[in-house]
Amino acid sequence: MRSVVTSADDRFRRLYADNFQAMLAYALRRVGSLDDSADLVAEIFLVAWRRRAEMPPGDESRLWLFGVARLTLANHGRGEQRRHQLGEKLRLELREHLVTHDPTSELLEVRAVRELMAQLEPHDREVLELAVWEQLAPREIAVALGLSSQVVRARLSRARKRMRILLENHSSGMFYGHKSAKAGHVRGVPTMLEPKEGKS
Amino acid sequence: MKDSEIDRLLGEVQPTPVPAGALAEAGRELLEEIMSVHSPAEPGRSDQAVPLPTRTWSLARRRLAWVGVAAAVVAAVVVPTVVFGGGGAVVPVTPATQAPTPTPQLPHTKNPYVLLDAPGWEIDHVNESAEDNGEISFQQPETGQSLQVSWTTMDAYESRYEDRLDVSDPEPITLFGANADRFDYGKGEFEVLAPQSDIFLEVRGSSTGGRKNFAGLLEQLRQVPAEEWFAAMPDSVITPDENPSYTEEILAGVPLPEGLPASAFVSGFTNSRYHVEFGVIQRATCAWLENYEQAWETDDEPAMAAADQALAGSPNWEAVRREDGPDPIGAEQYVKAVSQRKSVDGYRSNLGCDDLG
Repeated sequence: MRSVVTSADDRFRRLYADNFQAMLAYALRRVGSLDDSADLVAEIFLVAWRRRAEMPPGDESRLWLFGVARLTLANHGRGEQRRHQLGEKLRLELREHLVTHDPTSELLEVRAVRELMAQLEPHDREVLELAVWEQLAPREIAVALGLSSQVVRARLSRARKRMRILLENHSSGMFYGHKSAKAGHVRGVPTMLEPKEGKS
Repeated sequence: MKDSEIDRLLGEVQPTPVPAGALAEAGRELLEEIMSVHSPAEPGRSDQAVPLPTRTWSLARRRLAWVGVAAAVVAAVVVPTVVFGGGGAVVPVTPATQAPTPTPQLPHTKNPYVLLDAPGWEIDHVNESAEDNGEISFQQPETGQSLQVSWTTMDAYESRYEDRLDVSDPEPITLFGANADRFDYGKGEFEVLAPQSDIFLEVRGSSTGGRKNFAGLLEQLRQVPAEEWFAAMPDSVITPDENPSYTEEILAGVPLPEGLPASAFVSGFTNSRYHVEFGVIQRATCAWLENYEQAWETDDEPAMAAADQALAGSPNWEAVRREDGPDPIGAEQYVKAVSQRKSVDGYRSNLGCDDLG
């Protein structure tokens, strides 16, 4: 039991509260199983907790956390399945909330787009995912990745350009209908999975 | 397909969106678990790697970028016709009557001039963003393998090395006859950090197969004389001597604000056509928005109209119109704001205009 609550502890609590959902989403979008996602979230915050003294002030702490997340993910990608004692409840509730992990992957269009994304260069894909999935601005991505804003913009522009060419060259032409599809929807793709129960 | 449409499509195919507010209780429990872990940092690989942002580094690069541009402008005036010819020689092209022959000048950059000799591989792109920062990317089109070599100043080395300790344990190797460290990202991705006096190289291989294959590729990397490197550049890469004429080509049909000379767009760096075009289009867009902003503040309708007309035509600028040309990221909203005579507040940071100096 901690007897002293430091300002660093308070800042970490705030960082955690503000970014738990974002890190959960980050993990779920990038690793293959719910258990791995829970482990990754636990690992990200554990590393951040241990290094909290180095957390930058203000909004940059959020971007710093994304930097922690990508390197923790890289470690995770090496196949070291480190099961933590931490986050057991998170693992269980993830299974309960998202019984079928990523059901949208069964849809042909979704699979096709993801396969096209996989054809982008890793550096380009990374900035595109951070921009589109994590909704980070180029300036924020630059901070998170430790790059210049100019490099990020060039990579982002190149990634979108290549993605456009890949989509337009895709043999089935299935994406051309997207523009006229119902706003905000790829045909047949739910925009959000509904939790089984009310918000907790 | 517009950028916004691509983004929307990609947003919709993201795996498993998380219901808002879900798992909050489990999250709270995890927080208490984590905060009960003894700290400060315990020994261990993952604890050692915190990727601290390197803002000062990027600011330094911006300043250097301006130095580079200014140097290039001077070079364009003083030695306008130096070309890097084939056959490994720098060939000064001067009128026959001119004397003395100008000394061939190489760009003052920290480019390590690396080439890859592996069969079937080709140069995908080159991007020198500052005097001491850049990358060259090689790819094997048939297999989808890629190898990127980037270089930055040594002041970023320590933090980069610490970051990579979170990826894997370093394995000592030799690159270009000097000590280096290899890190294993798994799934055929490796990275080498190789210090070289005042810069260090990052060599990143993707889909390169196992360790042995990656090592084989590294053996085929060569540092070559600058002239050989320039001679090896494909048509898709614009060398500094080609930059003024290519910039002029890009600017054809692009209206410029009064007082902004075309020479302000010239760069002394080596970049793929795409990156040259990106820089020029970005600078032109920023310049017009700056003009508009000033006009908007003083309610100068003719000046606002001029900016409006120029920006409205930007989708038809040759470089933008081409399929493989650049997009000024996020400019659409400001072009629209200009047409409606609204504020364009925030455009500088959102479009990266501040990075241009």
